[in-house]
Amino acid sequence: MNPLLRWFHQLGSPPYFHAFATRWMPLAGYCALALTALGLYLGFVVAPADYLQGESYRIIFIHVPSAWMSMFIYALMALNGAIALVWRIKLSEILFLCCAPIGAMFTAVTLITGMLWGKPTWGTYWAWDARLTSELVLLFLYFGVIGLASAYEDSRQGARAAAVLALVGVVNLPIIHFSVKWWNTLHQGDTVKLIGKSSIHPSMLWPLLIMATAAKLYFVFALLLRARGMLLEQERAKHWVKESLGSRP
Amino acid sequence: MLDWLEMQGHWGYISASLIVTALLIAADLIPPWLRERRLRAEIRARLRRGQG
Amino acid sequence: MSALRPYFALMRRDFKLALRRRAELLMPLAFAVLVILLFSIALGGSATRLAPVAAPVIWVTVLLAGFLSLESMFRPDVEDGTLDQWLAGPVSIIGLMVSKALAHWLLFGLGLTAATPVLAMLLKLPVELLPMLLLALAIGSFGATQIGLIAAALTARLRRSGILLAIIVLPLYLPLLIFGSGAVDAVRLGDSPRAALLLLAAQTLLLTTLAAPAAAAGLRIGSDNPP
Repeated sequence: MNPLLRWFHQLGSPPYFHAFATRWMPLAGYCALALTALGLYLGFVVAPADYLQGESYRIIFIHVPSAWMSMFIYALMALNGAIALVWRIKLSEILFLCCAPIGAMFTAVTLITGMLWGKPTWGTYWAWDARLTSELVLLFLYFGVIGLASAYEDSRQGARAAAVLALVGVVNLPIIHFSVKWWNTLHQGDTVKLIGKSSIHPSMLWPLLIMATAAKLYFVFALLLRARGMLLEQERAKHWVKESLGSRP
Repeated sequence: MLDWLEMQGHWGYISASLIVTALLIAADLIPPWLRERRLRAEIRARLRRGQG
Repeated sequence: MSALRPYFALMRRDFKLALRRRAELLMPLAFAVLVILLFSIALGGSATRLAPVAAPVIWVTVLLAGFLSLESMFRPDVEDGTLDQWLAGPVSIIGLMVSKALAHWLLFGLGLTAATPVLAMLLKLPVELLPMLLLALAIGSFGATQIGLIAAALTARLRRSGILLAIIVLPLYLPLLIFGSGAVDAVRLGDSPRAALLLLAAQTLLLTTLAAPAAAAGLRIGSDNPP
C-alpha cells in the first residue's frame, strides 16, 4: 500500500491519533508562539508606518491572517464533514466538530479587528463592505453548524447533520460572497478596499506571511488539543485509553 | 469607552485589536484544555481505584 | 406515469392535510400582514416614507412568514411514523423530497406571493413595481423553500428547533434577498432587471438540485435505516 495512504488509515484509528496528537502538539504550539512573537516584532516594531494609513494599518497583520484562516477552516471543516458522511470515520466527525469553534473564533477576530481598523481608516467602525458583510454571514454559518451539532443528544448524529449543513454552506458561500459583492458595487461603488492589490513592500509582506504561518500552526495546535480531548471523552471506556493513561503514574 | 479608545489615536486601535485577539484565543483554548485535564484526572483516578 | 404515482400521492396528501388544517395555512398570511402593520406604524404611515422601502420590507416579510411554516414541514411525519415508513420503503426519498418541496411551495410560497398585492397596497408600493415584485417573489420563494426543506429535514427529529432553524436558514436566504429586491430596485431606478432576475433564477435552480439530496441525507440521520 502507498505509504501516504497507509498513514491516513492509521491516523483514523483513535489510539494512533492520540499518540500522534500528543507527539506533535507541543511542536505546533511552540512554533506558533515563536512565529507570533517574531511576526509581532517585525510587524509592529520594525515595519515602517504606512504613509497613507499611518500606524493603524498594522492591524492587518492580525486581520488578514485570521480572515484567511476563517475561510480555510470552513473549507477544511466541510471536507472532514464530507469524509465523515461518506466513510463514517469517527475521527473525521471529531475533527469536523472541533474545526467549527476555532473557525468561529478566527471569524470573530477578523470582524473585530476589521472594525477597529475601519474607524481610523474609513472613519467608521462598520461599513457594509463586501468582505466584512460576507465575514459576518460566515460567522452565522459557523453558528448554525455549532448549534445544529449540539442540538442533537447523540453527538455522532449531531456531527452528521451538521456536516450536511456545512456542505450546503460550502456550496453557498461563493454565491453569498458574489451576491454581496454585486450588491455592494450596485449601492455604493468600489469606495473601500481592505488591502491594495498593488505592490506591497517586503517589510510589510514578511510579517504578514509569518503571522499567517503562525495562525496556521496555532490552528493545528488548537485542533489537536480539542480533538484529543473529545476523543478521550468518547472513548473513555475503551481499553486503549486505560492502557495509555495507566502506564504513566 | 469608545470615546476613550478614540482619544488614544492609532496605537489605541492597535492595542485594542491585540488585546481582543488575545482574549478570544484564550477563550478558545483554555476551556477545552481544562476539560481534557479534568477528564484525564478522572480516568486515572478510576483506574487507580480499580487496581487498588 | 405509474412510476411517478407515489410522488403525486404525497403531494395530494400534503394538500389534503393543509386544507384540513386551514388555520395553519392562513397563519403565515396573518403574520405577514401583522409585520407590515408594525412597519407602517413605526415608519409613520405616510406614503412618502413607506413607498421607497415597500419592496424590501415585503421581501423580508415574505421570507420570514415562509420561514414560520418550516417547523411543521416534517414534524407530523416524524411524530406519526410516516417518515420511518418512507425510509424503510422502496420509494426514492429524493423524489419524495422534491414533491414535498413542490407542495410546500404551492401552498406557502405561491400563497404568500398571491397575497402580495394586498401587502403592497398597505405599504403604498408604486403600482409599476408590482409585476416585477410578484415575479421575483414567485421565483425567490421557490429557492427559499428549497433552503427551508434542507433545514427542516436536518432539524426534523429535534424536539425544539425554532431559533436554531432561523440561524440555519436566514444567512442562506441572503443571495435570494439581494437578487430579488435588486430586480425590483432596478425597475424603480429605470435599469434593466434582467441581470438580477437571471441571477435569482440561477441561484434558485442550483438550490433545487442541491436541496432534495441534502434533505434526504438529513432525514436518514437518526433513523434505523442508514443508507
